[in-house]
Amino acid sequence: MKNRHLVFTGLVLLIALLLPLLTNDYIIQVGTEIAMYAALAAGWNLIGGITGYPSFGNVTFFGLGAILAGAFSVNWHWQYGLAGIVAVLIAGAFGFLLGLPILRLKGHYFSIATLALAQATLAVVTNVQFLGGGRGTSLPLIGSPLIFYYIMFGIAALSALVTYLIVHSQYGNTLLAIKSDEQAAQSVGINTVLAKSTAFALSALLGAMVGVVYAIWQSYIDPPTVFEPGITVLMLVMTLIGGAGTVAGPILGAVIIGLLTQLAMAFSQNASSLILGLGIIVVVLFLPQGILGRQRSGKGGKRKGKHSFSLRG
Amino acid sequence: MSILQIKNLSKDFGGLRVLENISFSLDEGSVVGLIGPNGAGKSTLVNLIGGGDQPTRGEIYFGSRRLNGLPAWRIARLGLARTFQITRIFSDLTLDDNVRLAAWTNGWRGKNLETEVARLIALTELSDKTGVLGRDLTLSDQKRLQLARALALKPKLLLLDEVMAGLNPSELDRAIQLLAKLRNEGITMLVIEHLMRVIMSISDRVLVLHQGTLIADGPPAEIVASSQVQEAYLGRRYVKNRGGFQPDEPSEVKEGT
Amino acid sequence: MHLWLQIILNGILQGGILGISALAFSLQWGVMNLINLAHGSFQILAAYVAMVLLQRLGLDPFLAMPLVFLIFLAGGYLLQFGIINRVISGNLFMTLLLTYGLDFVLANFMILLFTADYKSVNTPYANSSWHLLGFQFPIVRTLALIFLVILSLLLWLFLEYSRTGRAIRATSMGTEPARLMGLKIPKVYALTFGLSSGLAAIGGIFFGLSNAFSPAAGGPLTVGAFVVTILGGVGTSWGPLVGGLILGVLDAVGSVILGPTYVNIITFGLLLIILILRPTGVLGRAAT
Ligand SMILES: Nc1ncnc2c1ncn2[C@@H]1O[C@H](COP(=O)(O)OP(=O)(O)O)[C@@H](O)[C@H]1O
Ligand SMILES: [Mg+2]
Repeated sequence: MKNRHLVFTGLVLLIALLLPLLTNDYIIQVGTEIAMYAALAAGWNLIGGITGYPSFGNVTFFGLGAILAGAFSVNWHWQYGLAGIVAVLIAGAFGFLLGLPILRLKGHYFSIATLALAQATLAVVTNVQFLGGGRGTSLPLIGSPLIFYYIMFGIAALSALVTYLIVHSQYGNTLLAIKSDEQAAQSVGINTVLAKSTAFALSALLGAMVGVVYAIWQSYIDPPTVFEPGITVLMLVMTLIGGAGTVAGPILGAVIIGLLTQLAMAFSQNASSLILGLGIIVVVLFLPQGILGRQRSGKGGKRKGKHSFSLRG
Repeated sequence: MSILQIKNLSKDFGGLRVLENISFSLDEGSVVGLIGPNGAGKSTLVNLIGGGDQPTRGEIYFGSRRLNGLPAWRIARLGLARTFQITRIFSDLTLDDNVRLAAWTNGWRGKNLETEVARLIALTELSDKTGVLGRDLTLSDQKRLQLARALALKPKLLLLDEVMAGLNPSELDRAIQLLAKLRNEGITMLVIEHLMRVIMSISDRVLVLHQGTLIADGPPAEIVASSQVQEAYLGRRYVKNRGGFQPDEPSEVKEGT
Repeated sequence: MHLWLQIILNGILQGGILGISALAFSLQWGVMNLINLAHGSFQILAAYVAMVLLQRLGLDPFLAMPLVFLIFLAGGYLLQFGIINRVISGNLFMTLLLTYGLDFVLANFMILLFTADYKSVNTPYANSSWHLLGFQFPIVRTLALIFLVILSLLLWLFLEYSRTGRAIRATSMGTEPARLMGLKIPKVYALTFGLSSGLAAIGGIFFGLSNAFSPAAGGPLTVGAFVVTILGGVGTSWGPLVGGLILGVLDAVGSVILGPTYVNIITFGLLLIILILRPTGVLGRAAT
């Protein structure tokens, strides 16, 4: 079991690291995007997959990371490193503090509150000149595509590592307990509010980290683009396809969707979106557990066809 | 020394008065039975004490600590553990992870943690179920798991809401022995149970709840003899020579959320 | 003073458009606990249908309305019966995701058919107004508000007094009791979704008459319906009217005082605050 995981991880790392040596700019671009979405999906998995709070607004943190890093470096002439770190920390704190009230909501109400959070944040950003206002922010071009590939890849690896550590810790079990039954979790002394908000903050930190790198990579930040609700949906679809709550699921999902999107793009942008939509429907109807999702448990009975989320509305 | 003090407690759900001006206290180390017909408000009372819901009026003291307004997890950390009548287990965790998480949350670490988890699982006769996911446990296993999980809190006070429902006679005997053992360890218990045989054999004192009010409070023998209690609760069904009676079907009502 | 009254009047009339859009959304949510993320795209599709009927057959949108209503009713019924019912008893999240996928498919399908450019339903009266007591009453919006009041009343009567309506209401109180009463839940759900799709289509026609639209306009419409539903209270017949008026007036007044770019802050800020403080809405039962 352990060995198989190790071999798998090694193989993925090897391919990912050697990929740029063998191929061209286009492949590097696609590889960077896949790594970016793998990291975002892994971040979503922490709150949506493991804790059972399906956020529809995680793009908020991606957008905040990008916008804040841009604003700090353009307006205050901070180095990218400093601007990025501060942006990530602010986004993390934002996630934690907003998590306190929003994570009290359940089911639909939580999903929509997070959707509203993303839209409200975008609305504020477009009205504040410091943050780029309605026009967006241009950043000086630095680095090479290859560098950004390795950085995004590093963040994806970090996200997977963080997920692995959480899943194999009592904190991970705490989050799973919250997903199962919050009242029971409280009854054994678990501070559920703190645990949930921390998970949301971790999710925010990872998302913002990706956002910062994305902004520098693209060297232009357009607020509606970096707060696009579709980005959250991609995170969640990738996680679901791969297997929610698992370590490798979000990454596998990002690779699958990433490659499919590229294939479909060969026809048209529109066709690729249409295929994504149909893909979502197919997954919901035929693969609700995801590819790596648990189909059965240890000694007891089977639980085929049951969803890996359990939400009470 | 009283460990728990309830003062003038009332609870309304919407317009419905479910508990009416309840006052009593529990002595440290005692085992007190709480009986009453279905819908009397027993589970609601336990839920208020455990912090799962807030009373409409009245106060709850645990030792000198006022519990009103405290979140349930804080109350649990103070050493007040409970089980749920309608079982609530962590369905995505294995049986041992259920217990382990509770113990870990309450300060057990490393080798001690593992020893304690194994002890609690053995104590509740669940050793052959380790590794089974919570969602795959039978109801009777879930009830026992809730007890093990509650004990992982090193509780000073234990609130047990119908933990023995559905046990067969031999399991029942062992459960009674287990409660006696816990009592010898000094754990104070408030036990909701329908089987008079259980109540008679383990409690020092019995409280009777009827339509939200406390109608009797005294030693088990006295309670059984009381005509008021017999009328309200035991009714015609109580058969003295069997020392037991058949309660109504267990309530289907959800516990307060 | 007069200017302010006109601004508030504009808000009230805009409330009609918002409220009609929310009627269907609220019904689906209230009865089936279904959040239909494709709601806005349904409406835009109806606007396109009205546009095509007008351009090709010269059929006035108001005359086309019953026809479009029936087409959407049938389509909605089949969609719910064939696809959504398969997941709706599972978990909320999967249903949410399903409707999102549906939205994606619909929106991109419309781009293929009609391109991503803005279109409008060009009627002679689309941009004209009635004048009364010195105030301007844009014709389409005024009719929308009147329709909203009538439709709310009809919906209320239907749910309260018809057999089918009572079955729908019984189902909204929980599927288990409804099953015990002998109701066929999948059929009731399909009917509910069909009916609300028809209502959504009417809302879409009004939207198309009063705004330029593109396939991308569905998302904001869904969100608007959501805010209105939350404001008015989920699953109440009169909630959409109340919520629509509140949001319409707030947006109209807010955009004059703060500037039009702040409208989204008001809308989403309000939504967040209401969700956190009173998730059952203004007319809804108090949160427990
Ligand atoms: N969350 C709730 N909302 C409304 N009524 C409730 C709620 N919980 C319990 N009740 C009502 O309170 C009364 C007492 O219930 P309960 O405490 O479960 O009784 P017992 O445990 O003694 O059988 C019952 O009439 C029940 O219907
Ligand atoms: Mg009870």
